[in-house]
Amino acid sequence: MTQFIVFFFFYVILIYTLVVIGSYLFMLIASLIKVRKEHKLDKGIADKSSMEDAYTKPVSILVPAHNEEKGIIESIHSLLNLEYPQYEIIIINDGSTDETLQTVITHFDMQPRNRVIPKALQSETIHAVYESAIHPNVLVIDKDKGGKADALNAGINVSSYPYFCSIDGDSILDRTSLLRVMQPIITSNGDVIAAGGSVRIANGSDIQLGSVLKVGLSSIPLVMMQVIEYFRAFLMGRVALSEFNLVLIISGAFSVFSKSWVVRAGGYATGVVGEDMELVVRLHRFMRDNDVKKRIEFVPDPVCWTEAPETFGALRKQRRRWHQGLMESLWRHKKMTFNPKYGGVGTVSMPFFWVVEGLGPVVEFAGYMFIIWALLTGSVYIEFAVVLALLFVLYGSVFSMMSVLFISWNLDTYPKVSDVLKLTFLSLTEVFWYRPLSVIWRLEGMIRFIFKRSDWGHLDRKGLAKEEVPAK
Amino acid sequence: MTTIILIMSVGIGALLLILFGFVAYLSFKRIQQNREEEKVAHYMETYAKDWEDFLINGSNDGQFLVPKTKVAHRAVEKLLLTYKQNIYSENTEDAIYLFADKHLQDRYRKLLYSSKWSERVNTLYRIMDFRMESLLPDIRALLVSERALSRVEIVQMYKLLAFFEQEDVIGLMNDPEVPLHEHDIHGIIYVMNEELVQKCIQAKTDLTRPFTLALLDMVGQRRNTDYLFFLESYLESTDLEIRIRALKALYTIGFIYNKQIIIDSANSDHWEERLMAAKLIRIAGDDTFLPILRKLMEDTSWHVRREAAVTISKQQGGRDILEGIISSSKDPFAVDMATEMVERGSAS
Repeated sequence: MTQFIVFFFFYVILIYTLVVIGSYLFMLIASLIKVRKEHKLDKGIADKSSMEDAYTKPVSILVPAHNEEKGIIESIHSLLNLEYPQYEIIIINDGSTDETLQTVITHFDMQPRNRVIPKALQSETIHAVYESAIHPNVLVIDKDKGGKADALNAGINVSSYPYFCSIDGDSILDRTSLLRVMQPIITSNGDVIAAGGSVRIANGSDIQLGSVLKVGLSSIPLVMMQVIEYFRAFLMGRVALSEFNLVLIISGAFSVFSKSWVVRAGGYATGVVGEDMELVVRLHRFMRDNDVKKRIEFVPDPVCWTEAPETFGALRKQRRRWHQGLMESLWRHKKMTFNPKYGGVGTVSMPFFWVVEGLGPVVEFAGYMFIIWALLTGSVYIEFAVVLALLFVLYGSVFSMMSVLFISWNLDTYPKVSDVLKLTFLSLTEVFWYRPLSVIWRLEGMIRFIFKRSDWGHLDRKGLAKEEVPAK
Repeated sequence: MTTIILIMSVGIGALLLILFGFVAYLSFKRIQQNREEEKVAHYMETYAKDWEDFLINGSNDGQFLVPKTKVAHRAVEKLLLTYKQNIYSENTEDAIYLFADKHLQDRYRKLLYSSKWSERVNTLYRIMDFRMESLLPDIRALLVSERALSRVEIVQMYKLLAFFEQEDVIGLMNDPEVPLHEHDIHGIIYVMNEELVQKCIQAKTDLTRPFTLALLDMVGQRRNTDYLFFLESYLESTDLEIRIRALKALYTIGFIYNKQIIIDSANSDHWEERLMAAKLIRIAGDDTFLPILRKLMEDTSWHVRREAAVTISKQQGGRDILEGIISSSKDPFAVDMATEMVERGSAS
């Protein structure tokens, strides 16, 4: 009987791991074909051409901020630096208890304005809308705390333009990123209703007045490991899924949506942890329910710089929150899973996210336990453990190494050879410390999902700027 | 099981070896690339004065600046683009175009047939930047060749044809076999001269819908009152989007003489047309439209009310009119909107 249980246990983990490795391999190849094609394309000339096109659509940039006093000024400066013909910046102060609102008001000379706000979406009470006397396209909404989704809904109501871009209050955008993330929307004639750009880690880079002056690599292994992880997620997920209109996650840190479609789909769902994924899944669902053929794309180029957690505690908070959000979205839309009515999203994306992303930590955790148990007991199943361990090395470390190599080869992310070498070698250690830890954190997220625990999950920020920007 | 472990270990080991080989190769390539960048920068620094003499002062014939190596080619290309973007002098521009046409032509011709998509696209952009009309036969040859061309390439080639005033581009843009998006057509019309735009207008009945929509937009952008009649001819269209685009273009031009258009649009069943009516009153310069604006202030659409309020606030005595609405209107939405505009006016 024991033997049967062990065999069963082993083969379930083995088959699962092989399936995951197979799907990652497929996505890796699909992404490489795409990334490789655009390697060496002079994006600067294409940007210039886009800027010249008179019909680039105006965009409202929404920045929800809850206790972001340290990073908010940098973030607004980065937005003011954007190369884009027409845009407005709307900061949504979501009941901050720190000096976020006052910092912005003082720095940008914000004046209160009486505005009639259409109630396209429900949100908590808005107390005031301010406009900057220095930059007329900068607005601040001061509202009661309602969470990020609620803040974004309020921002959508106040926004004037047909497209909105949601970015996190602690993020920095590259100058051309908005222009590039809008490309699929503009060129598709309305077929693409949402697009997300890639997110990179800013820790270690030289950032001043909202611009990344020099890309650098943090010396903290935990941060470096997150850099690797972002590379991997980029290559083994979003690029490939986007090719087939199967994207379920475009980062809330930087994404653009068509306002009318989001309003039609009901806006951001409040009371959930992962409102960004939830919205994307809901848009897919709305389109299929209404028999509309639209696309949601991930754009590899546009870069949004974000601050990665530098401590285990902060990272743990972030990861369990992400996983909780993932599980919530999958559960809320479980009807779509394996449902052919929802096309590829129902039959491919949803099952993939359930099996590989959602339940992954459970199986991986079981795998790690199996290996430890077999090694400690020195039982006859030690060979099984070695097979699993080898697969985990392939799955956890070798794929990460490949991602680092291909990304640094094709995207010239880190021009310093030493940085690429550091990342390459560190990626090999992933399976021995980072991956098991993240498995445990994700399991925690799953438990929190089961017990329906929820909060803003706010992370303490150091701020991205090297020096504090003096207030006006 | 032992055999499987052995095979897997060897497999993963081999994979790692390959990857380490790859690491070495990439490090070598990266060092090489960084060195090349340094060489390009060095070239640009060394010859900066000579280029300035050639392009700005015209004090040398540029013969000795003709690039012979790959590094020199890259540096020269970078230099010429920088000059083109930053110096607005006809003589300098002419010198850039002449030099590029004479000394970069062969290289670009070769690159047009490159197996790498990104190199081909970059080249098409540069042909436009340096106005290398001499490569037009190659572009045409490519368009009719059996080669599989991407959309980006096709659009860029059509842009080149349009830029070099080739009339047949209108037919090509209208070709149902290569259906262009409206945005693509915007970009192509953007580079057309007035004469070619007139040719598009003459062909108006034969144009595809995206072409018509893009043409209406771009005609508006040119702000030429000669196009008013052309735009008005679309106001009877059964296609709502076409009517809205024509109204938008009229507003962009900033002139309207047929005031009936405003009345008709203000009575439309579609809020987008009523919104355009509120906007058009702004450019009509006629206060007889005040009753229409008052009616639009109580419109069912927030957008229409807002636009009407903006128009009133911009009129002479607009503040008094808005205050009148605040004190007399029974429509709370109209009152709110008027209040916002009054406060906005007093703040600015």
